[in-house]
Amino acid sequence: MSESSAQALHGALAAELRAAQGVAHVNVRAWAERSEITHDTIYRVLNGKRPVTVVELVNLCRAIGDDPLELVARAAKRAGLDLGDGVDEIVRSDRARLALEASGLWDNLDAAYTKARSALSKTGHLLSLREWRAFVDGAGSHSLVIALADFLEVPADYLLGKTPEDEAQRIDAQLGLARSMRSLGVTKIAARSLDELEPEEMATVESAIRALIDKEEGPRS
Amino acid sequence: MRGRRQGQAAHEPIAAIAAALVWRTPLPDVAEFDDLCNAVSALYGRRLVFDEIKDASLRATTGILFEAETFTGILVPADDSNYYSFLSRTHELCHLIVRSAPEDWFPPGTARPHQPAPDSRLFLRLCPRNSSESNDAESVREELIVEEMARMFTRRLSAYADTTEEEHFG
Repeated sequence: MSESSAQALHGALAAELRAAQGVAHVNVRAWAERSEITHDTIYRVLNGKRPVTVVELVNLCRAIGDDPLELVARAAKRAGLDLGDGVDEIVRSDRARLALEASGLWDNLDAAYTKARSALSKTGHLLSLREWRAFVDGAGSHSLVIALADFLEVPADYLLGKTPEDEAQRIDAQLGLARSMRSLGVTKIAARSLDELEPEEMATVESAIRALIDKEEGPRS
Repeated sequence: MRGRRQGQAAHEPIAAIAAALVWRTPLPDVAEFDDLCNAVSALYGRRLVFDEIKDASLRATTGILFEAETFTGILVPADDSNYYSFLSRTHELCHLIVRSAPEDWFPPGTARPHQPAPDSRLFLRLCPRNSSESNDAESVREELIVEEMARMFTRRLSAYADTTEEEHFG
């Protein structure tokens, strides 16, 4: 998403929140109490002085009985954006981040870029910094995502937002577990199992490993 | 007939490797599970810690092996029968034997299953080695060797030496 499109969307979100406030007949102080967001923050959001966060948006909408997704859709329409592309970019960006976190590459994106560039150069792809940033933002080209999927050992369709929902959830769980294990200092994990592990089962395994490490090595901060 | 011979030929090295690794693992004449744990810990060079997963939501998992900073953890479901739990814990120990056994423990003409590259990102993914996601030949070969070894250890360790699998699995 370009910078001007992002600014337009922030402005449109503020305008839609003002409109929702009018429909709900609620003043800012009452809205602040109901949403547990300070009235100062709400003023600044409504006046477009500060972008609203996703959590704030959800809480503000819930406090007045509005649907946050519908409000976002109205704002996108007001800003002249194709919502489909925007949502797609958010999904792809989230998945790129999770794949990088699972690989221990998120904390230093400059070093990650160097590694990715080196890996891709072996297949004849010269990765530019601009392309790398586009990938992280969820806007990488099809061929670039395929190349980086190989580097990250993640299915390309997942990074492209094209896997079926249940498959995407399973990969989310796999990568989430890898991220968690990395944070616990685990270097290898293997399962003997009768079938594929569902996300709930992975969560159970993660919890059991965490508990055992806490017990043996002490809890981590 | 020809297919059967090929199948047998493919199976023989698995059994030979499993038998060699089981009988070369240093254990007393009358050995218990703890003796095996001590032998594997010495061979692998790490402290082993066992625990059970008590959550009833486990449906597919029969054993988890992981490497923490200061120990190697082995988790098995609490709800499994004593025999199956024993088999699962032994199975995970056998993976450690396969990984760390000296080269000369493997019979002539056979080799240790190829291990993934040390920096593989897949080390932290919970893709079961016997799942469709792990269908590379070497992982499958290791799984076959380890499963065979676990069964052989039930004969070598005293706890279940005088029983048959049929008694436990029906």
